[in-house]
Amino acid sequence: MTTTTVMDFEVVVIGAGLAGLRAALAAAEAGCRTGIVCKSYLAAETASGMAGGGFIYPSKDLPPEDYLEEVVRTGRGFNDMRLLESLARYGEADFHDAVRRFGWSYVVRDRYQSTLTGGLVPGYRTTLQVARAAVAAGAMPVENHTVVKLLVDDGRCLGCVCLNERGELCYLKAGAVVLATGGFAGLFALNDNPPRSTGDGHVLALEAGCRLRDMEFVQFYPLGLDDKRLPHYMMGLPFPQGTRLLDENGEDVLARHFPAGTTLYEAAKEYRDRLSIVILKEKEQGHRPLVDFSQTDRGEWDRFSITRLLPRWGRDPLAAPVPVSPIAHFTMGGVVVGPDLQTDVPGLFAAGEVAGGVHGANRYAANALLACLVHGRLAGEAAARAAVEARAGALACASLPAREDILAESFCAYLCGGSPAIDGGAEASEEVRRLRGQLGQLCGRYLNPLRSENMLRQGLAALSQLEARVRPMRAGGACAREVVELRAGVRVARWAMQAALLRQESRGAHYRDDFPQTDEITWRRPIVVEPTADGEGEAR
Amino acid sequence: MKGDEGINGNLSRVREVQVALVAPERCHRCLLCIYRCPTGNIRLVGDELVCGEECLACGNCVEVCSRRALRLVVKG
Repeated sequence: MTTTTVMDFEVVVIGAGLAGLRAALAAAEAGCRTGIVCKSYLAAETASGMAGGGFIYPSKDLPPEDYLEEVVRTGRGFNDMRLLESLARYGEADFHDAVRRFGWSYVVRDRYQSTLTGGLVPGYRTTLQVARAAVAAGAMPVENHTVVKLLVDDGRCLGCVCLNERGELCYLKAGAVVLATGGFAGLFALNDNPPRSTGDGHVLALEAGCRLRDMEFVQFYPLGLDDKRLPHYMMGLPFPQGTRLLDENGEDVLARHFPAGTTLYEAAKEYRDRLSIVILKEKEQGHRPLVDFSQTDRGEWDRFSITRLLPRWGRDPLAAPVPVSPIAHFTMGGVVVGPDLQTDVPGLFAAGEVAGGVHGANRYAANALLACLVHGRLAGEAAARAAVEARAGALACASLPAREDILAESFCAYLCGGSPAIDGGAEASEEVRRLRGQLGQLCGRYLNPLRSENMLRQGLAALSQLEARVRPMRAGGACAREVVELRAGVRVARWAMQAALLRQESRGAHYRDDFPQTDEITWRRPIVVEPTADGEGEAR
Repeated sequence: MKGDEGINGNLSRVREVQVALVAPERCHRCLLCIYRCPTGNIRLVGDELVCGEECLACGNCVEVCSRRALRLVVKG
């Protein structure tokens, strides 16, 4: 049997984006021996690393009641108010605290949106600043380690098991764990997320005994560039006046679906989700929706991201209209948490995109980063308190060394069918890559904004077939982590499809063509994915 | 701390990473990495792929390369 490495922490944070790093900083400052385990490098391959850096919070210009009203209106009443209360209460102070300690610079737009600045996209550098602060406070990075299982003993989370780059096991013991693993938008064929945002943490949490909620609510932006020679980019607001949505014959698409005179800007602003449906229905009918800049003022181009970036990507905005499709951007669904970010399992906390219930049925713009900052801090502080209590309670950690060998063997069998150091080889890695591509196509086709019972049932059947090929795969050697992600991805996709099938109404980001109205009588409740005896989880 | 020797080299530094062409012999100039980069950070200069200063370490280029020729590496 291969020897495994053991590391001993008081708090372990899983995930090194903004939420995880802020949690690690808080835990370290609370005096806990803190480890940050991430499958890449700190701040790398994270959504906050790609983010444009927008924050909206109550201030003298935005009363808390107005902020909450807007957030809940967007969330269609599904937001957990206790989670929003902390954002409203601490948002402004936490943002300015972050600016001061992490050396962030920002500009204020429209009176109450603060946007980070620095480089073309500020995300990676600004998140890296938080990493520096966390490490300076004593948090220890455990990079390039993929967590495969949370350790739960006697009903309490006591750490995790991970695989290093060579596929070898490593145990991180902890008094408390914070999950900050991000969302699963990276599963979709067209998404603007890091490719490795595959919902790993959602699976870890459920397997540990946590409920998930709102898995059907996936935020798409309608105007995703869908061109092989352009990045997967979300053309957000604002964009130049005169930008139009045409079909392949040069005809105005909007005129077919919206009141006469509606501009693309208005449609993207006021009817964003409807615009996604419109684009998909046009494609269903064989049309190709395209964004056209020929009637915009070239003198204005410098003021807008899309017209600044197109030339950078080697494309003249006037050369040809750009094909667009709805692009997966954010996932509202995640682990059920209480107001202190506590999950169903004592000793386990969750913050950031992996936590469910913050954004309800649809996320209010610029709220995601704020949640990372505030909830990240609160989760880190709560984990620190829990770890101190655990230490004081002389818990079952003492019994863990005796169980390590058994755990190691069962993990070897589970993951590798033998020694974990078997090299998966080039063929295995090609197969994983292909299946991952298929999963992306599946999610893109069956979980896109235009949903129906038929499509979802077909999706679940197709997913079953894919799962049958993924299940026997062994995570050996160099492609161990890809296999782990693939296995997580198929389960997360299944839960999302199950929940979408169950919810026979349309609400927020979830649209059912066969149930286009909102049903406040039957469906004013979140759909929860519960752990089941077979460990597979089921949406109810 | 027990068991932590050699896990991660220098544990106490924060490493900035960026994309690099680690296997130039495998690159077949499909240019997908160039197209896929959200900041247009990768360019073809003559016959060489050059990565600029706007890398977000997002991993999109690494993912899209079918030859596994790209990887995120520590800067400097």
